[in-house]
Order: sequence, then C-alpha cells, then structure tokens
Amino acid sequence: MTDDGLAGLFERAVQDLDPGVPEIVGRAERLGRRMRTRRRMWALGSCLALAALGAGTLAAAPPLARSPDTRATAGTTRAQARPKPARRGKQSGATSVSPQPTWVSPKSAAFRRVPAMPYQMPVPQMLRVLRKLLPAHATVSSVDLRSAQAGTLEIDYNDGHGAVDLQLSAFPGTAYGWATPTCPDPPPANKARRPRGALPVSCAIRKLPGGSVESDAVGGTDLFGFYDYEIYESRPDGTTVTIQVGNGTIRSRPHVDRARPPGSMAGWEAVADNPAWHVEPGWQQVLG
Amino acid sequence: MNDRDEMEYREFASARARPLFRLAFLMCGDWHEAEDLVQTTLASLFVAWNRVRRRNSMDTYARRVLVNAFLSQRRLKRSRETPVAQFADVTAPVVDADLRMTLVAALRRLPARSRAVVVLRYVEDHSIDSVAELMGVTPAAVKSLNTRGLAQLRELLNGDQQHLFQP
Repeated sequence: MTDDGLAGLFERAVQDLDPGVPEIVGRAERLGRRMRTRRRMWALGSCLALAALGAGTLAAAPPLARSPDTRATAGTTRAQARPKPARRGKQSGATSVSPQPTWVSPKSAAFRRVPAMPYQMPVPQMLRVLRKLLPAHATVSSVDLRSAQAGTLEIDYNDGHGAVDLQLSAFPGTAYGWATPTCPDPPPANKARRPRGALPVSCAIRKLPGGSVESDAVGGTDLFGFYDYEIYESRPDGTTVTIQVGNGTIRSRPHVDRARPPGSMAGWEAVADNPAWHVEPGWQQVLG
Repeated sequence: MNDRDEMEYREFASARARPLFRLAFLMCGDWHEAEDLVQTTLASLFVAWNRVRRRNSMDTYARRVLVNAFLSQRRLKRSRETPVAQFADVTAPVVDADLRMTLVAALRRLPARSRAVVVLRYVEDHSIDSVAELMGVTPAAVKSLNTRGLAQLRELLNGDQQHLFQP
C-alpha cells in the first residue's frame, strides 16, 4: 500500500462524516466562556493572594509574636465572621430584582481578616462537604478528582429529576473589596427562549448578618435554553464562595430538560453560606 | 473579546469544526468522543482567541490542542482501554462504512502517539516537522512513530487490502 493509497483511504473513510457543527460550536463557545470566567476568578484569587502576602508582611506580626489580646480578638473575629446557618425568611433572589447593588457599609472592612497564606480547599474535602449539604436521595456524578483544581468542584448533580451542572468554588479573595458582588447592568440577555416555567432573569444583593455580601442571580439563557442560579458570596474573612446550578448539563452532552434548576435559590444560598466552605492553612496552596 | 471578535471566532470555528472532527474521529474512533475533543479544542480556542489571532496561528493552535487533548485522554483511559477488532459505528450517514470501520479498528490498535502521527501525516498531509511541532516532540521521534505506526497499520490491513482499494 503506497502512502498516496493510504491517504486516499483515510479521505474516503471520513468524507461523509457530518457532525452537527452549529451544536458543537455553540457548546464550545459556552464552555469557553465558562473557562474564561474561571480563569479570571483564578487570576483574581492569585492577585489577592499575592496582595495578602504583601499585606501580611507589612501589617501583621507573625502569629507567634502576637499578644494574647490580639489572638483573642482574632478568634472573636473569626466567630463573628461565620454566617449563621439558619437565617432570613423572605429574601429570595429569584424574585427580587435589584440592578443597583445595595450599599455596603465600609465599617464591615474593619473586621476583615486576610488569610495568612493563599490556601485552597482540597477537592475531595469539598465533595464530602457538599454531599452532607445535599438532600440524602441526591446523587453526584462526573466527579473528576484527578484533574480538578483545588478550590473548585464541577459535577453533575441529580436530585432525582435529571442531572444538572453544579459548579462550586471557595477561594481566598475579596480581602480588599476587589470582588464585592454586584449585579450586572444591564441584566444578562436571553440568547434563546426561556423554557416554559423558567425563573425570570434576576439579581439581588444581600448583606448577611455575619458581614458577608452576596449576589444571588438567575442568569439569561444560552443558545440551548440553559441558565442557572448564580450565587457569589464574599465573606469578611476574605473567602469567596461561588455556586452555579444549571437547569441541565453542558460540560459533556448538552441536555436541557428542566424548566428550572433543582432546589430553590434560598436553598443554594444556604449551601453557599455554610461555614464549611473556607480556606485553611495546611490545605493546598494556590500558587506553585 | 468584543462582538466582532466573537463573530470572527464563530466563523472560524464553524469552518474548521468538520475537519477537526474528522481528525479527532480517526484518532479516537468514537463519534461522541470526537465531538468532545472538538468541543474542548474550540473552547480553548475561544479563551485564547485574541492571542492566537494576533499571531495568526489559529489553525496550528487548534490542532495542537486537539492532539494534546486526545493524548491526555488516552493516558487517563489507557488502563481500561481494550483494542477491539470490530466496534459499533454509530455514525448516521453511511457511504464507506465498512472501510471506515476497518480503518478505525486498525487505527485503534496502534499506540495513541503513533495513531496521532499517522493521522496527521496522511489525513492532513502535515510534514514531519509540522507534526513534531504540533505534538511537541522531535522530528526524529515523529519519524520513528510514523515508521512503526505505518508498518503496524499495513500489517493490520493486509487482509483487507483488496476490499479497501475497491473504488
């Protein structure tokens, strides 16, 4: 068999293959947007981590050199910073639209504490925490513990009514207010008709009792009718927690068969507010 | 990335998705996996669009990402992958289905890197140097992989040659 003969065989073998190009390109673009967003968040996290390191050398004495009073104050601060698990009755970002972010008192910065080192929560630990917070009958799949980056979790979540994308991240950031949540203005547009019974596009900014600031949004649809809950919480201790829960899967096979993402916005807000999402020395480092 | 950039990206991606898919399909031998590879490739291209477009290296970048994604995937799947002589072809339009099945089954018996080299050389007509650049290996390594891959492929296809060369 000559080289030309082989090339001809290959050509004949694939000439009639006709994949769904518009679908592939649409999915790729959507995935690309998410990858870009994630990279930006990582870049922000890294910048904040570097800034935190710098601030640590300038402003903070080494922990062992602190006076007992200082340590006690820090302990109190940490306790204050933790959000209360049971909270608020009425606020549900699904219906309350506030294109203008609510004003956040600068006083909240007074007890902001910068993480000493840029650590990340290990993915297996994130998964364990998440499983405890999800309903008992729920299942998770497509968990890639090998390639997932510390501090981020991307899985398929199924509450018994179909799998959906669930993305969660917890990383050190916002220590200087760089990433204070805001609502997009103008609100995101729908690129396809919203499924019948879908939640409307919305966004609300909430200030939680512990000092955290949170944006709770329902996003616009993409070309396939996919949209999600988008929760972004910035905590006083510098930790940022984000959760996105879709109405279908997009990471591998796009499959949108639900009008709404599973659960309620309030339920996912409670997941985001859980103090189990935090950064801690000894966990995986962001840099290096 | 502004609206114009996005439009350019879409035009490029739409034009290149089919050849990339064919390349991916011959390398991995699976319709859905090939779609995933192309999707991953084009998503990476979306993220890097402004950078690679400035260098006018979109095609090279896309092929490099595709080949790397394929090889990475093989590394992860190697422990549970079993070469098969026949496999279920799920492609809908069929013109040369027998030929495709025979070729892809033979390709799947080659080591992943040899498979990538042979496909890049004989489907896309890349030079040895070009394949070396795409795969991040030396030209000598490509020559070696190509020689071994071709020899193995010819041996595997030996019994099917008569059938394969029918017009």
